Amino acid sequence: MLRNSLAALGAAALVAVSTGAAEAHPHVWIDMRSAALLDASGRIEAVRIEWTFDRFYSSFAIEELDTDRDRKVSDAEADRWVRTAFDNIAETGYFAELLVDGRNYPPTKAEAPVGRWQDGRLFMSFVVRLDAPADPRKVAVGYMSYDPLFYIDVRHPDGGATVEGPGSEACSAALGRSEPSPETVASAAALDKTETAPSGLGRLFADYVKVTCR
Amino acid sequence: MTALAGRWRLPVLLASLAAGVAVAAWAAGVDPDAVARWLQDGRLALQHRLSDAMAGARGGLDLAGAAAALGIGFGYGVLHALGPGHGKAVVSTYVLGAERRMRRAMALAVASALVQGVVAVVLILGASELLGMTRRATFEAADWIERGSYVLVAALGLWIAGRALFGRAPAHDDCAVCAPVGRLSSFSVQDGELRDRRTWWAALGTIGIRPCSGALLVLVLGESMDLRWLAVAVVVAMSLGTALAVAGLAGAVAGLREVVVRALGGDAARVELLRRGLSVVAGLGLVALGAALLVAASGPKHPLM
Repeated sequence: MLRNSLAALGAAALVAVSTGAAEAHPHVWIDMRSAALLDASGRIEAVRIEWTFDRFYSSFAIEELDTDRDRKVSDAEADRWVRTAFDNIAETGYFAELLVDGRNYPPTKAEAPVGRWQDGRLFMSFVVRLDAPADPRKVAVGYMSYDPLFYIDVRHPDGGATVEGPGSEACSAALGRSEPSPETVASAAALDKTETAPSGLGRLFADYVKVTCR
Repeated sequence: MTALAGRWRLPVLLASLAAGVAVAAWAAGVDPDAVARWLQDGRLALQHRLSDAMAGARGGLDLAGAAAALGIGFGYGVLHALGPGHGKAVVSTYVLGAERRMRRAMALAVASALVQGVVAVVLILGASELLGMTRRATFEAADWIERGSYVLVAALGLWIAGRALFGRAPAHDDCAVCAPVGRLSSFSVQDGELRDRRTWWAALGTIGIRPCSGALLVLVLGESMDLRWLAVAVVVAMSLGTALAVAGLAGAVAGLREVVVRALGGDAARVELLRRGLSVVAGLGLVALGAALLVAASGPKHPLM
C-alpha cells in the first residue's frame, strides 16, 4: 500500500512538472522592427526598438488609450499611453537583452519613447542603450527582444532589422531565431552561467539579431 | 481477457496510431522543441489571418470575410488545443482515473471547451458591455476565475483519490452489463451511477468555468470593430475546434486505459484494484496539476496587461 501510494505520488508529480511550464503560450503578438545605432566611431551605442502591436492587444488597450472618449485614438493619446507603458516595462529590462562579447544583460538605460496609432494598431518605439559602446568589428554584438512571460510573441519580419549611423553601409544585421542558442551568437566563448539575463519561456522562441561590420 | 468490445476498437486504433507516430518521431530524432515551435508558428499564422479576416469583414456585411473568419477560428481552436494549455491535461487526467465511459469522456471534453467559450462571451458582453466594467477589470476577473478553477481542479482530484482509497466499490465496469443490472434495482450500482454522474458535472464545472483567454481577445477585437456577433460566432467556431481536438485526446486516453486494464487485469477483483489504483494516481495527478497551474497563474503580473 505504501509503495503504491509512493508510486502514485511520483506519477502525480511527473504530471504536474510536465504540464506546469507548458501551460503558458502567447495570445498576442508584436511585429517588430529594430535598428542598431552607431556612434561617430562606428561603435554600436544603442538599439532602437519599434513595436506594432496586433489588433487584439490594440483593441484591448483602446479603452485606456482613448482618454477623451471620442471612440478614436489620436497620436497624442497613443503617445501618452506609451510613456506609461515604457515606464512599466523598465523592470523587465524593456523586453530586451543585449548580447555583447559573450555577455548578455538586460538594458538598464532607455530613452525616447514614442507612441502612434496606425490603422487600428498601436505603435511604440524607444531606444535602449548598451552599458558601453561596443565595436562590432572587434567583438560579437547582438540583441534580442522578447516577452519573458511569453504572453506576447515578438517577431521581426524578414529584413526588419537594420543598422543606422556613420559607416552603417559596411554593416549588416542578420536575423535568426534561437535555433543555436543565442549565447553562441554573442560569442563562441562559454557564457558565465551565473550571470543570467531575464529568462523564461519567451526566450526559447525569441528572435535574435546579430550585427556585423567590415 | 476477451476480445475488445466493438465500441473500443476505433479509439484504441486511434490511440495506437498516435502512439506510433510519437514513437516514430522520437526514433527519427525529432526535437520536441521544434514541434512546439512549429505549433507555435502555425497558431501565430492563424492568429494573423483571423485578425485580417475580421478586419476584412468590417464595414458592412462581408459574407466571404465572415466565413473566412469562422473557418480560421475553427482551425485556430484545433491548433490551440493541440498546443499546451486549455485544460487538456486536466481533462485527460480526469478521464484516466474517473471516467469509465468513452461517450462521457468525450462529452466532457466537448462540453468543457464549449462552456469555456460561453464563459468568455458572458464575461465580455455581460461584465464589460452591460455592467460597464473596464476591460482591464474584466481580464482581472477572468484571472481570478482561472485561479478558482485550478483550486477546484485540485479539490476534485483530492475527492477522486480519497473516494478510490476509502470509498465503497463503485459501479460495474461495463455499461452493457451495468445498465440492466441497475434496472433490476441493485442499490449499489444505481448509487455508483449517480455518483459518477455527479462527478462528471463537477468536472465540467471545474474545467469549464475557466474562460478561454483567446476567446476573450477575439471578443474584445469584435467590440472595437463593431463586429460583436461575428466575434461571438468566431468564438463558437473556436470552441468547436478545441472541443474536437480535446475530445480526440480524451477518447485516446480512455481507449488506452482500457487496453492496459484488459491486458493486465485478470479476475474482477484484480481489475477493480487496478481501476482504484488508477483513480488514486489520477486524483493525485489532478491535485498536483491544480497546484502547479495555480502557481503558474499567480506569477508576476504582466507589465503590459
